[in-house]
Amino acid sequence: MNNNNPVGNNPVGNNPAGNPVSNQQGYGHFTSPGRLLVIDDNKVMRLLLARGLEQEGHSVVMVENGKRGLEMLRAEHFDLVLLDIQMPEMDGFQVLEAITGDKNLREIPVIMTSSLDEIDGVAHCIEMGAEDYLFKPLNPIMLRARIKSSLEKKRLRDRQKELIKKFAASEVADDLQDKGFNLGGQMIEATVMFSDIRSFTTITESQPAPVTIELLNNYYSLMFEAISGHGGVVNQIVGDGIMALFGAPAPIENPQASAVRAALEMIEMVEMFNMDQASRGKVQIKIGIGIATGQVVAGYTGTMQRATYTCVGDTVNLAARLEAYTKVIGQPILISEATRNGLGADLKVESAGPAELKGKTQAVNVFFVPVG
Amino acid sequence: MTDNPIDPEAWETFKSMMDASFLAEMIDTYLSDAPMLIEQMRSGIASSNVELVRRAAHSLKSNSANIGALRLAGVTRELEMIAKGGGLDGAGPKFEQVTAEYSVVATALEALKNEQ
Repeated sequence: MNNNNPVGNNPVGNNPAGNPVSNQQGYGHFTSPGRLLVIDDNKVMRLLLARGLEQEGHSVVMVENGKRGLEMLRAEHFDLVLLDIQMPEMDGFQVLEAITGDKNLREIPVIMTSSLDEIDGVAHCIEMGAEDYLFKPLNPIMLRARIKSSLEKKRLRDRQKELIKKFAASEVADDLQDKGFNLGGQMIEATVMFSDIRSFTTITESQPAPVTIELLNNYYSLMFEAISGHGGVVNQIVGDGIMALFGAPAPIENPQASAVRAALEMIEMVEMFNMDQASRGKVQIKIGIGIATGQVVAGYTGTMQRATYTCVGDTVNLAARLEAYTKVIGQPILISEATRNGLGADLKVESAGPAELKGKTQAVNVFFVPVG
Repeated sequence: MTDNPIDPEAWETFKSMMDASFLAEMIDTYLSDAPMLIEQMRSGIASSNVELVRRAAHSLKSNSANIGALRLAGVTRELEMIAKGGGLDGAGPKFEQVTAEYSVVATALEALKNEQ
């Protein structure tokens, strides 16, 4: 804590009833509190920002220059930084550069604060990786909205990372350990699954943002559990979509059957999830799953600093097309012929006939896995 | 806002961000910071330290805009722009305008503080 500032030493989250800010209604929900760092050489600005933020329940630390700000960031945990551009010694650009160049700090969202005159500088900061910006003089409603949205995005990213780490990264990490970091690819046989939520955009538009985020996080937890429980690895999550791999990076016994069992469990999980949602008067969801099996190009893509294991190729495309095709025929689980050929007699599958899928020159035999 | 040195709308926005005791503290902070910033501008102009003038003007501009002293923010911004241009041509007269406007603002803020 900066002992020079009176506001920073106040107890956190005291929002006295009846203060003017808490009486303003209608711009959203209370954000769960975060720990914020305000870096500004201007005392009036620091106090004003800190006050506005503490009224929202956040815990705020203030420092008066960039150098101290960086020291603080390296020493303690923060959820978000509010960074002034114009400061003596180390200005906002330099601080931002140091933050984005530091692998321990680069995930912390940075909101630039500046006057309207500095709009070019703000644009430059956004290019450099700043999350958002606020113009001075401060508008309390904009302040709240920007902080809220940045914190929510940060939390979703943290949660996704945690989930990926928990369920996916162990295999990927093992693979890296065994074979060393190799950006070269290889062809391997794998089963690829795509899953997403039907009409998710409509759902998003029909409810407040925090509710959507909560829904997504609960949904992800359930799906990850079903996938990893059957030996699959969640490879990517994009929006409400999940791409999972069975048999890559590490081979597993019968990837086709594992993927189909995972899919059945996912559908069951969604049914349970929907019952719970319904009991709380919340929106229910439907998912579609596409599964394809075959050769995929697998490898690490990205740069040495930031690489992900990924699979590409026809099999991956086919899985994505099958997932999209679930909407057309109204069956939640569609699988390719090669996937069906790997299944034992214990899994029931029915033909959905040949289908003209986008991007395929010939009709493809599609099968569905009956549910319920 | 012809006569009022504190723009009523900006003042209301400022006030809405805090309770009365903190408002008094903010006004005090503003009133204690501003003379230092003005002194920096004065010495910067006297010693041709363009950067010092620019920085002090930048701070006073932004504080003034926050607190609703928009006319003062405007003339201070003009001084900042002069310094930003790399020289101090015309900085003297502009600085006189800043000090004159500041004394009006200071009086008005004292009055507002006592009203709360």
